[in-house]
Amino acid sequence: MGDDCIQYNSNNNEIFIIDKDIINDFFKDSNYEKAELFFIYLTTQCEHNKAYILPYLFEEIKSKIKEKLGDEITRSEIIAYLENWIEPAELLGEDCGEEKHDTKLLYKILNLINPNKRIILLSNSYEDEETITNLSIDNLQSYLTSKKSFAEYLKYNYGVDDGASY
Amino acid sequence: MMSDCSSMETKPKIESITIVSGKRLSAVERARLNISQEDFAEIRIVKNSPRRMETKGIKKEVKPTEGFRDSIKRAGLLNTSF
Repeated sequence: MGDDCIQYNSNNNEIFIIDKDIINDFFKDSNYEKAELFFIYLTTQCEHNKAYILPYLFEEIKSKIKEKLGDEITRSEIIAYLENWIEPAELLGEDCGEEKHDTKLLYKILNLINPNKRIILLSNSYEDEETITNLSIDNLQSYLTSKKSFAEYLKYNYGVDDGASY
Repeated sequence: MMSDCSSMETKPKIESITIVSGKRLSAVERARLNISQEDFAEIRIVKNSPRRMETKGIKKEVKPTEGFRDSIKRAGLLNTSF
């Protein structure tokens, strides 16, 4: 387990919050690579390898999957895969149902209980928010591939330089 | 012949899928799955199934997201917008 922390999941500094943007991208027929890159990053590099999402956003996603799929095994498989990368956040009863308010609240809560971590909101909707460390989907690839260990991981395992094929 | 009525009434359901580094598994389990410490394993917990837990190896050259993408394609959910 000790070695595990060196080569894999050695990034113990970042915790991500996501909204529906990155999930919508992963479900796209094309141009899903950025989203895929993010999920690979979570699995291979991050100690906290699930991104937080507002619980009602996750419920909306699950409801749509259930609405579209009648077969229990298929829909439960899709939801189980999502839950490997995404975790509904606990909002301590302070949420009001308004997405921007609740996202900022979640950001504050995570900062409060993880004072030594970098909380990063991955979304296209908060670029003007100065009080939040926001990463847009457009900037995601360059951000992730600027991490030396991840760039090396991609090159070593998938034979791509600096995420060039993404 | 005994019929399995309970399995007809309660269909299998995947409760969780967890993808972990091969390093987290024992050497015996890695050998069983034919994976190295650098590979991954997908662990499925399946409800109402004779095989409650299913594990499969994911070689390091295979992206850990591929199972999820294949599942989305098979389900016809490509281009679903949430």
